Order: sequence, then C-alpha cells, then structure tokens
Amino acid sequence: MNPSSATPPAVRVENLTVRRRRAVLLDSLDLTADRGVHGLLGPNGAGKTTLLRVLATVAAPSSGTVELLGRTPSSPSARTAVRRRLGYLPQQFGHYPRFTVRELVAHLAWLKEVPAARVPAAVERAVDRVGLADLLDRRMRTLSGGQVRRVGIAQAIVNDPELLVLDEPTAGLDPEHRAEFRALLRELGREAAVLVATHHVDDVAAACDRVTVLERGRRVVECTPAELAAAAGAETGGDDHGGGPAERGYTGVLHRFRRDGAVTPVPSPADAGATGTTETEGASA
Amino acid sequence: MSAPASPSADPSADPSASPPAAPSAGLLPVLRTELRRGRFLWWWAALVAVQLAGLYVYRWVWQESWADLAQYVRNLAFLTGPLLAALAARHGGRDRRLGAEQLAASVPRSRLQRTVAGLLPVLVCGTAAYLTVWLVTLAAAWPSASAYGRPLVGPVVGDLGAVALFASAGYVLGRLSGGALLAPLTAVCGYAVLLVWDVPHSSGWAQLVPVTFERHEGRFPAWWTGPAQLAWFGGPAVALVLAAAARRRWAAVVPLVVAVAGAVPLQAAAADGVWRPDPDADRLVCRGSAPELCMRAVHEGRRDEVAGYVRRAAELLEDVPGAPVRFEEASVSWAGSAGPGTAVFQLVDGPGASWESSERNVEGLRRDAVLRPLLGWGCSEDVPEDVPIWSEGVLRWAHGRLPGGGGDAASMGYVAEADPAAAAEAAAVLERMGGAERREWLGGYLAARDACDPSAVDAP
Repeated sequence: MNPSSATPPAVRVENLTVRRRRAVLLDSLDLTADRGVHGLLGPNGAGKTTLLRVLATVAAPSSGTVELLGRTPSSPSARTAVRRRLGYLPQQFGHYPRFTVRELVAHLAWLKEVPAARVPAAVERAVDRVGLADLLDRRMRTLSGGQVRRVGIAQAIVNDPELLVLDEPTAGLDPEHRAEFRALLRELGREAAVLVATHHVDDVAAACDRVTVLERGRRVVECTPAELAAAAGAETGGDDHGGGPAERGYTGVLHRFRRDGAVTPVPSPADAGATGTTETEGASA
Repeated sequence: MSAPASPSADPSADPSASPPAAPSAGLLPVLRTELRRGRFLWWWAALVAVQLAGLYVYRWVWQESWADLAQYVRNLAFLTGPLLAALAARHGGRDRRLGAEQLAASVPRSRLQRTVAGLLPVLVCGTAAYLTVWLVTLAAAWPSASAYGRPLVGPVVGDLGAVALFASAGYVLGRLSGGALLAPLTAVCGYAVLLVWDVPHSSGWAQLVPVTFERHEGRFPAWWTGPAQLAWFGGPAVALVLAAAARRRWAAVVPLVVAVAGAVPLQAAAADGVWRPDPDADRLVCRGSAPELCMRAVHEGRRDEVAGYVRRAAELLEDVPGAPVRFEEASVSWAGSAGPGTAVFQLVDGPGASWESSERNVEGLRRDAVLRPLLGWGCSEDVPEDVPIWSEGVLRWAHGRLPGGGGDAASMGYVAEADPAAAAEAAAVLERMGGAERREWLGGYLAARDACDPSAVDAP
C-alpha cells in the first residue's frame, strides 16, 4: 500500500454513491487500494457486492469519482482498457455445464482478449494455480460447488490481471482449500491489487493487508487486520462473541457503529507503529 | 492451489504490454467448442431430417426441375426457420439463464463481439443444415434434372440471408429475454407470421416471403433476385444484431436501408418479374422415326418412361390412314398447335403427384396420356353433345391392347365414359373386327375427329 507514490493507486474511489430506484446502496464512500490484498467485510446488504460491481465496471456509479488503474472508466474506451487488466469473480459464477474446465477458462480468456497463442498455456497455469490441474478436461457439470468456485477464480486470473475483484471467492470451499486459497491470495497480492469481499473474517485476517468494513452502504472503518483484531477488546467491552480476535473486532465495530453512528479510532497493537492509519467515519459521512 | 513462478517473470506474459486482440483472434477455437458442446450437431441433424422428410413428400415436383428444386428447398428452409429461431433464442438466453451475464459484462470484448460470437454457432448450424439439404436434393435430382439447365445458385444466396434472419432474430430475442418459454414461443410466433402472410403468390408482396407451392416449370429466376433477397433478408439480420449490441445503435439504419433497397425491386417485379419464362424451356429434342418422339429438353431424362407407350400406341394405328407419325410433348403454356399428323401429349408425374396418381393407376394415367391425344375425341370436349357417346370406347379398346391395360379402364378413373354401355359395345366391336376392317374404320374415325364432325363417322 503506497497511495502517496507517483503512480496512481489501482483503485481510488471518492464520494461514491450508488442508488437503485429509491434505495441508496452505497453512500458517499471513499476507498483507496493498491497492490496487496484488500478485504471487504460487512453484513448482508452492506454494499460489498455493489462496490465490487462498480470496481468491475459492471455497474455505474450514481455520483462520485471512480478511478481504476489510473483511468476513469466512464467512457467505453476507458472501460475496455481497464477490463483488459481486470479479473472479476462475481458472487454468482454462471458457467456452461457442458464445457470442460479447459474449454470454459479458454472461452473466458478469449473474452478477456488474451492473445490466442497464449491461451492454452495461460489456461493451464491458471487452473493449476487453483489446484484443479487434474480436472482440466472434466465437464463443469461433474464438479462440486467448491471446484466450480475454484474454476471461477481460475478464469479471474487467466489474464494475469493487475486489479482482481473477487466476490465471495471462498464460498463453498472446504477448509483445506480455503487455506490454500489464502496462500494464493497473498501471492496474487504481490503482483496485483486484490479486492476480496467475504463473510469469512478468518480469511481476511490471514490473507489481507488491509480491510474495510461496510454497513448499509457506508464505510465503518478501514484498518489492518491486526488493528481490527485489536479492536475486539475496545469495542466489545469484554463481551465474548465467540470466534477469533478479528471476528470479535469486526462484530464489535459493527455494534458500535450501529449504536453510535460512528466508530472511534481503533488502537493498533503497536499503537503508533501500525503501517496504516485507522480511520473513522461518522453517520453523516 | 499451488504458487508457481510469478507471471511477471516472463515479460511476454504481461497482458497490459500486449496490443488489443483483433475481434476475430482466437474465435475459431471458441466456435469449435460451442459447436462441440452446444448440441448443435443434434440440431443440425433435426433440421436436415425435417427438411428432407418434407422434400421427400414432394419429390415428384422438384426431381426434374432445377427451378422447382430451388423453390421447394426454399419452402422447407422457411418452414423450418421458426425452429432455427427457437434454437437461436434458447442459445441466446444462455448467459441470462445460467447467470453468466455479470461476468460477461466485465470483459473487454464488446457486446457486439460477444453477440456475434454467440450467434455464430447457430448461424453455422442453420447454414450447414440448409446446404446439406440442398446438396442431397441436388444429388437426388441430378439424374432427371441435369437434362436441362443447371442448378440455381441465386436462390441459395437469398435463402442463406433468410437463414441468417431467422437465426439472428431468435438469438437477439434470447439475449433480451431469456425466459424458459421463449424458445417455444419464438417458434409459435414464427409460424404465426408465416401463416398470416397469406397473399396471392403472383403478387409483389408474396416475393417478400417467397414461400409458394406453385411450380416454376419453364422459368428461371432473374439474375438480380438472389442479391436482392440476400439484402432483404440479410439486412434485417445485421440490423437486429447492431440494434441489440452495437455501441452505436443507429448503425442499424444502414443494413435496414440495404434491406429496403432489396425489397423494392422484388415487390415491384412480382412473380412474373422474379421468375422469368425461359424461352429454351419449350425446346424439343426429337428422336426416332415412325413414330418420332419429341420431348422438351427439360424432360429428356424421362424419354424411356414415355417411349414404350408411344411405340405400342403407334403400332395400334399401323397402316391407318391419317394416323399421327409424330408424338410431341406439350409446351409449358400449351400454346400453339402441333399440326396434322402430330399427337401432343403431357407427361404424367410419378406416384403421389396428385390425389388420383397412386401407385395403382399411375401406369394407366401414363398410358392414357399417350392414347388420348392419339384416339380421343378431344376437338369439341366443351360441347358435350358434339362428342359421340361411344367415342371413349375407342380409348377403352386401345387401353386393352396395351400391356397392363386389360382391366376395366373406366373403373380405373382415367377413362370418363358418358355412356359406359355404348363405350363397352364400341370397344368389343373394335376388338372383333378384322385387321383391314379396323384400319379402315379407324382411318374414318380419325378423319372425322380431325374435322370435328361427329356426323362423318358411325359407331364401330
């Protein structure tokens, strides 16, 4: 994370608002993300998927500024340029059941304009990275839900994206593959900006460099996983909500936000020694 | 999940360093996968089977005429068009049905490129089915039809435009809607349009949906009709795709203008302008002598079918004064007169050609087609009182003399006797006559008939 460097951050969102009919899905949201893994946490309906849809150039903002990979994707040509460097796994990964894994990922590689000569190798490498090399020529309809999810991740990385947007990538994965996926996330984060929305706080704690908690379309807090874990004691007042420290911290900041409409600064483990600054956002933000 | 070497280790693997891919780059593998996995082989087989089954029923129409073959292949292509549209609608609604739209919306390939790529396998399937049917019928018709003219390519060009229209209309509907019932609804609506479009086949409007079961014997399509039909059908096909998927949707106006440019001359020309009379169609090819058999070049392949009846019929009238020595096939329009000494006959189509031409009596009809112009009292058929009531007895006798004609010709339906008793008596008397007596009587009969004077001849 180095937002102040000369090159623009991979994701810069300012004052982003998304409305659908009368509902406000995202409300004046600010977010900056660069190379590394950035987790998005929040309860159902918090706006995680809407935010990721905007970052994947699938949904348009109602107002605010969105800058992806140094471009504002408001024009078709700018969107196309961003999409060439983008990987996206939507919450619902629709696939073609009669295709084999190889055929499906190759099809998506074509859609992502991967040069034809590179497609076979890119497909094999992407599928290998998600641990499905043995199933390359299996039909999609014969795969388990977790395996389908991993194919979804494979298609997202087949074009070696600089911005990777993953919506619930670990849904349906068994614990063993979730652990492997975290390792993959960390590896991907060394080369790209990875934004991951998930309900698994453990995944965020294990794989993410930073985390943003959303609630009702607004940002509750942005911090490091360690800071979120440290917030457990401060925010819960000693109540034991179960789960690990990060999960308790997440629950605590949500409760505090709902109660007070704002979250006070979260003390980091090293207090002033944390890499990022802890931010707060009031109800009026 | 493994952690192989970083992709950035290979500079050539950096996608941002690569120029944008061409729209068609790598499309062939995508098409191959779609064709292999999308049940298109089954759809191709189903379309071919339905079209060939329909064409088999009407084989007697198209087997000896390239023009009729072109028309009937077109008819079946149109009649199976709604099925192709239904297939296209199902395929077009796939992303919506399977929830793949979100992902598709995030890729750099434009909506137009994705639409064309999705439409392509349907188009290939429909085109392959059409061309397969065309080639099969071409091979089936070759022995008979090759005597005259050559296969017509112009209608194929127009028909492929119609195939494209059915495919693109269904596909675009599928992309826009994608409901489970869309495919059957598309087929039903397609057939409703074809049914509603009920205009006289000779009118100009009929040329805009050129399905007709009228025959085009002795005609050929004007050279410009193929490109005009391609424009008329292909234009809306392209316009639909552009309107549904192009960034600049107004571009759809261009193919629509092309479509109108194709439709205007078709509508103005009407059937007579689209299917022009072929002056060469009535050209006769004559062979043999006493009798000489002249057949239209278009029917040269059927000479053997007629020659046996002609030879035996001529033998019946051997040495009869005034007996025809030349048998001539009727022209397309039945225009003109054959002149004295010539019997003009019409070919009888094969079994199934009409209600009366079953396997059972098609031989009798063919025999009658040769004997009637030879011996029938045809000069005053529109004035029944001028036709001797016994005259059909001459035909009955002649039928009985030819192989297979020993049965009761009247009961077979091809001799319509006004007075069966008189006809039977005349046939019996003719049969009992000696050779010289019969030749004399037949000579008088032919002279009276040619003069159209029933008073000049008595019953045999």
